[in-house]
Amino acid sequence: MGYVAVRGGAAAIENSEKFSLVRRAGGASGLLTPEQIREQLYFAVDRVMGEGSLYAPDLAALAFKQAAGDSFEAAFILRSYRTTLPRIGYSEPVAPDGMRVIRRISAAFKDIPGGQILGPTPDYTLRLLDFELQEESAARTRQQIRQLLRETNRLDPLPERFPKVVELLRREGLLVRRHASGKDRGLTDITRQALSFPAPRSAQLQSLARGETGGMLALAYSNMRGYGSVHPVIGELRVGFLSVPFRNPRSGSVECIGEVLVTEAEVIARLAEAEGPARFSLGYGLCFGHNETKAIAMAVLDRAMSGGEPAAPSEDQEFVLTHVDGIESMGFCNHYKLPHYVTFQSELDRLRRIQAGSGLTGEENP
Amino acid sequence: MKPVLQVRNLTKRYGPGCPECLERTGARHETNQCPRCRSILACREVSIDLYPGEVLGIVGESGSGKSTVVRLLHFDFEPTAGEFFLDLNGNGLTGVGPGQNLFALSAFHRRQVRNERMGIVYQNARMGLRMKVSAGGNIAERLLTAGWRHVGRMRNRASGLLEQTEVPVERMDELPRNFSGGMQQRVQIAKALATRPAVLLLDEVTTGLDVSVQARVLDLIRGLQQELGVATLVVSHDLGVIRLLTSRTIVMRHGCIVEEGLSDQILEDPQHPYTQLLVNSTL
Amino acid sequence: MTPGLPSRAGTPPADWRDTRPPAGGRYSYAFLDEGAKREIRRRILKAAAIPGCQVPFGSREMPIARGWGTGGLQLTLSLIGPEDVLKVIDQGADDSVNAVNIKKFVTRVTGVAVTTDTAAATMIQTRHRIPEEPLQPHQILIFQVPIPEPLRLVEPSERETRRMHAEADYSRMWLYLYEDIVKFNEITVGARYPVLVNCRHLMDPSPIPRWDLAKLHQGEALFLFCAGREKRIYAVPPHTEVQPLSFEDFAFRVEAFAGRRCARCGSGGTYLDEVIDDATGRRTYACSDTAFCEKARRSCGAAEDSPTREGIA
Repeated sequence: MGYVAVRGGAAAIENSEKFSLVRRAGGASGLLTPEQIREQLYFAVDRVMGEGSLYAPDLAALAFKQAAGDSFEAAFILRSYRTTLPRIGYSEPVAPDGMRVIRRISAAFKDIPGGQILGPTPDYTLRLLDFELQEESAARTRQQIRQLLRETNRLDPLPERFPKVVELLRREGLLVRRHASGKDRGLTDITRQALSFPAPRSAQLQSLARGETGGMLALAYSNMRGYGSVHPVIGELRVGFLSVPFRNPRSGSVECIGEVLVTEAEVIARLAEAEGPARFSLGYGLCFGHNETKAIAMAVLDRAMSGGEPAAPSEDQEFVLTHVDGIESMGFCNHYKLPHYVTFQSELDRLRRIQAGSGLTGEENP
Repeated sequence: MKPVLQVRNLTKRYGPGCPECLERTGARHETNQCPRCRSILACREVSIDLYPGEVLGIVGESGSGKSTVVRLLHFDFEPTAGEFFLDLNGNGLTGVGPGQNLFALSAFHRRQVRNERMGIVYQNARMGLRMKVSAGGNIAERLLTAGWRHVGRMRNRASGLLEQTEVPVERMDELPRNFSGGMQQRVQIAKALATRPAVLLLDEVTTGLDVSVQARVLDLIRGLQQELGVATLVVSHDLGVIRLLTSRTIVMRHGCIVEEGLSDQILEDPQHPYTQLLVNSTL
Repeated sequence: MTPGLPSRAGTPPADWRDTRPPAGGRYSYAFLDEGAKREIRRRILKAAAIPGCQVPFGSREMPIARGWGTGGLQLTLSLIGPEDVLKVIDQGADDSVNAVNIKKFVTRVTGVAVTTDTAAATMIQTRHRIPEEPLQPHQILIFQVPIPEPLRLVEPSERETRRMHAEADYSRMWLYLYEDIVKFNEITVGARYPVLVNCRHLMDPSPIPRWDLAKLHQGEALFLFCAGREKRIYAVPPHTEVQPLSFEDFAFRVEAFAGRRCARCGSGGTYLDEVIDDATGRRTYACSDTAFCEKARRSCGAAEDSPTREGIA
């Protein structure tokens, strides 16, 4: 009577961990340090922070190293770590126009007060594979950088504040006024209570801010292409540092406890349907780190969901917010690898019965 | 004789509303839209009595509010104001006392009243039937909601109703989206009658059907009416339908009732200028 | 102090980088902080007070992935104490990879004793099965739930299913079963069979086989269900009515094993796994509940040197 079964679960897990270690660190190349990842793979680190929902560049770099570059896993590790951290309090609200800007553009106007500042972006690079990077010499590159900095003309420093482009529209009466009402007035914390629909705006923005970039992109893309009607124009896109103001519990005064790098997108969408004179509507996106794709997608989705009856999935708040969390979606997708043989046996039983036809009579058929 | 159905001051407004809405809309003003706040009064202060066994017509052009009235009575959406009473004739449902305004009931009780005391047939079968569920299943859904739990008995009742409405019983397990328009209407009628309702609501049921098909469906309704004697509200813009089915009629325009009386009299001798216009412009 | 980006005067001191947890990286007992445990316990109480009703809660992220048992884990971690004895099973087996992984984590953060003996456990976390041995009043059975909503089969919108539960409007589920019978002359729902709890709430019993549903009805122990990803807790307290949806003329039926017996212990009254032999392609059947099977074998005086005995505690 041969009975072969799946056994030795504990040993299998240990061996799996060893295997992964060999894969990650068993090669001839030098081991990556978290510093290297943080400095040189900064987009990955920023994405992991945004999706992990924890601003901690060093830890995000560490998570990325630990996950061998799987950004879903890295974000998950960071989120899991976040759970263990004590909750001290909420920051004071921040006015984003005080952002210490490193990049700031608008597609809505040719010139804007303060100027269009391209900043560090790959947007206009030619995507030609650069084989010289294969043999990049640290010494030569640093020398190159020193040279560049010497040669660059010193310009006047950037202004402290850049007025918001959308503020210009608002003052002209061209933007729809958003009224905060009912549930929208308070701050919902989605990490402390489950979402229920319709969800208030603070819950909507939080969910999107920590959403998975690819998932949000696909949904926003569907809207841009026609499964929806946002037709966005970027009023302003900013990348820069926001101060984090916090109220000192002892003295009661508000102090800046640090800065976070964020990307902010304000998208102007077509005329809002509603009572009153015609106006533009606004979609807002904000996320940790430098992640423009996500900020724009977020702004488009924010606008798409604020209409009336959804005509497409990207306009359906319940659909979007339930499906943009990468930790949830990735976990559930992969859980199908877990054994399901008991439930499958149950399905087999049903199918076999059906194929056998109605063998029994009497009680089934009146 | 007591009415089986009573409606008092039924009003449905779309829009913010203002103190002038009621005064500045209606048949006298030739509009159902408030000039000040732009709200639409789909129906305004409509009162109706329907007697046992009676077939009451509600006629008017599109926008008159006739469909709105019937859908409000079916709890498809909420009224702005008004009261609604059904004589449940001692066959009370738990939680629904006599003289109870049905609009004030909880959603749970409204659903119960709707399922067990009313039946509706819509102009568009997609509104009244689940297209992805079999014809028999559509009927069974109402029985299931009423608490039936015996598949055989439900199928017997469903096939009986389909026979009565002249739908081939062998198509009972097919999806209605494969049926012709006329047959879909007949399935709707069977579904409406499933729980032996006290009131039947027919909302433009033959509009959009071929003339010959219309005739057949109307004949069926008339036959069922004579056989079952269910109190019925017939909404139509078609005077021919009114003439054929109804004993009494209400004429609506811009959300108001402009005339009511015996169908014969209204059709022979209309009093209100609008009714006269309607009657005279019939082809 | 990110290189490549302009820095500003007055940046915080270097030791702000030390973001490791304090005191040698020790986590609180059972990993969850006390606030989380309190919230979860309160939700459990509410769930037990309204049998079968889904109670939303602020589900925390865990070190294992969503979909892999974070819900069950949060219940276990909120309720467990040093005196508890824990059993964890997946598909009925104590040593399946997933069960082992969860046990490892829980013992690491609590130090509790573990067992494979159902009778010896005070707390049992399970995925997709109820142990064959009847449970006692002092025991708690915690179910891992992937999809807590029984109406998801007929309605994708959470908003709508919430309304349906509030109004006890379950006709669409009954209609689904009716259509099944019309099409196949059978109800095709296998596991996750919908049950009516306390004659009021429709509940998803988690993907346990129909075989196990009878154990929920008028049980002695407390049954707790949790979906971490979907953020819902629900409960069936002891001595509660739990009835699978059934028609008078199409009765609810459990899985049939056509009189087969377990190849290992000979039992004929347990839920069996179908195993296909590598070499011969022949099918054999064995108890899904490995601990029960082992007990039965020992009490029958089965051979001590069977090669399949290793790995069982």
